[in-house]
Amino acid sequence: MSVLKADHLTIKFGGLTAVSNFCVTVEEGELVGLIGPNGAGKTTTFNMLTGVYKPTNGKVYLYEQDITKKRIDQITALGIGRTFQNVRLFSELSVIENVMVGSHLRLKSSFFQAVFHTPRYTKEDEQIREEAKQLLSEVHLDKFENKVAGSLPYGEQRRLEIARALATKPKLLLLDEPAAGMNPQESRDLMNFIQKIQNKFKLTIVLIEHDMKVVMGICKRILVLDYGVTIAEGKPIEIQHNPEVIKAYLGAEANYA
Amino acid sequence: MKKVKKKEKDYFLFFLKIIAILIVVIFVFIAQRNFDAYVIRILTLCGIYVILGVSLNLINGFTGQFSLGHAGFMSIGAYVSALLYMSPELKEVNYFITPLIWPFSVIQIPFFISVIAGGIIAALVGFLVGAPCLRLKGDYLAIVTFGFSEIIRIIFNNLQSITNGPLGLKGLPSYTNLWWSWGAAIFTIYFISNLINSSYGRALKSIREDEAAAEAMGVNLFYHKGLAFVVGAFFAGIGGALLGSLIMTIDPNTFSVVMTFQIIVIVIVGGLGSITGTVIVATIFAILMEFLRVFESPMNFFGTKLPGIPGMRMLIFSIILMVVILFFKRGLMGGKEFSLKQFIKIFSRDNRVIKEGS
Ligand SMILES: Nc1ncnc2c1ncn2[C@@H]1O[C@H](COP(=O)(O)OP(=O)(O)OP(=O)(O)O)[C@@H](O)[C@H]1O
Ligand SMILES: [Mg+2]
Repeated sequence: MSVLKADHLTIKFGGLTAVSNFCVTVEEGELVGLIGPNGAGKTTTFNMLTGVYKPTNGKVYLYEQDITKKRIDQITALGIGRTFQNVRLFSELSVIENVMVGSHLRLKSSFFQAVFHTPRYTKEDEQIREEAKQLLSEVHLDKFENKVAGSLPYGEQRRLEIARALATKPKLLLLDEPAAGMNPQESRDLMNFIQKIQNKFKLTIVLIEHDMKVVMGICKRILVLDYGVTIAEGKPIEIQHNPEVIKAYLGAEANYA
Repeated sequence: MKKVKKKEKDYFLFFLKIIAILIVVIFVFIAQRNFDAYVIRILTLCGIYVILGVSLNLINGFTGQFSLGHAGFMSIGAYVSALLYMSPELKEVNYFITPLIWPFSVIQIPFFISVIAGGIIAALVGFLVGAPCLRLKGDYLAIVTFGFSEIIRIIFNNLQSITNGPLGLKGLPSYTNLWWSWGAAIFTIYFISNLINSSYGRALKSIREDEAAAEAMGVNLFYHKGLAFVVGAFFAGIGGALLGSLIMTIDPNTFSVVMTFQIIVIVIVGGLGSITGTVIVATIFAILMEFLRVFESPMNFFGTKLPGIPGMRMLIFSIILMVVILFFKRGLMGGKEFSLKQFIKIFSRDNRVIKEGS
């Protein structure tokens, strides 16, 4: 059974078709890369998968269940976790609180049990805190537990965002340019880290990356978007030598120059 | 080992909280017996402002939804409760132009239940009004909730056969005393600070911090914003009900936008997202409101007679607000709490960082 299936996802913003006919099937345990130049529609694709944008056309299936019309928080509860391209932490909350928010959707105690701190709630909250602590030590942030999230260095913020997404207990994790703003060494470390948590939490991951080289090492399969169109799909080696991909990237680089 | 230590600390905290409440109770006991009526009245007002400030802070400070609807909810609480606790005879005296409709004209129930009913109806309206508004953000929400508050005022001015219109309700029995106001204030503080320090509170704060991220973490925005509005409106209704019986005369214009503005000043000066800040500033505010009254009455200033300027107090408060915002951008407490935990920290050798929450 496939974890994720996107079936001809298309979205238009006014006259602009940001993504057209995006199709992908992701199997359990895969780590798929989604690459493409600036403005190719990568983030927009993530936003369609997570319910932020409703596609103009096409459907999204999670474990063969149609989730296209579901609310964002429902989709999270069904098992898709995500991070954002520009880190979006709850900056004024403490590091551990950031992670604990991710557990709220699984809270069993009722509102009044929570307000009156009944033994049942207190026990559950204790458990949530314990889980959050474990997640934090998993991403090596345990020593920052009570720091304000916004005060962390950039790299730590990125890792915290991943821990927070993991707290929702996702089956599928969507990472939007997790290595953005990092130097090559930091990027490599991060990719190792991602592989590690994938094994540890038995995750299926789709990873957006701008720079092809970064994902070559860890993704077995890569999709390339350009102007909203999927121009290539395959093994890293095939992608690297695909003339269309080279053209898209060279064109993009020419634009930068 | 560590667990045991934590347990001990919890008990100690609990003990301190009980002592704090006991001090308030003893103070109220002594005050109610010995202080003169004027001082008691001011202290009672303090308690009511605490209720109103803390409940508005839940919506505006902790959930980050800038609401200007508090006076509307207070108005509902005040009228609903008054209609329930006034005696039929008193109602007949008040509604001499247009009679009060049945069954309100005949019922009379105890004050306590009336106040709760006022809170519940305010909460219900909070939900009905909140639901469509919750898609709005920032300024838009502020404008719509402000509009709601004005609509309530206009409706109450015109529902002659229920609210007695602009004539208002006069001679309300004065049930509200120090016990009622501070009892309700302590319950409000207990309820809302517990809420803030629960999983629900974290969800509310996450909405304030970043709506899109909160939603992506599985927080149902509609439900949680609605929750904040309903709880906030409930306590605003309670505050309004108690205020009505304290000032003994209400009319729809008692609960105008000026009322909301006062509470907003309390919340902002105390610090958005700080319950202790709100409590402290609400108390000071209620006391200052009385002392600054001299500025609104004619004064004898070195032999020259100065006429009283009505509204002078609000002018002074606006200046205080501006000064505070200039020097303490985030209010006096800046979203932090003065907590017993810090207190313990000072007196214990254990100087590790203490966990969030109280
Ligand atoms: N809400 C929106 N309204 C209008 N246009 C949008 C919206 N969201 C995205 N777009 C447009 O869709 C296109 C794809 O944007 P998207 O952010 O998905 O690109 P990307 O591949 O993530 O690029 P980058 O590498 O810069 O992150 C862009 O042209 C963008 O301007
Ligand atoms: Mg992007």
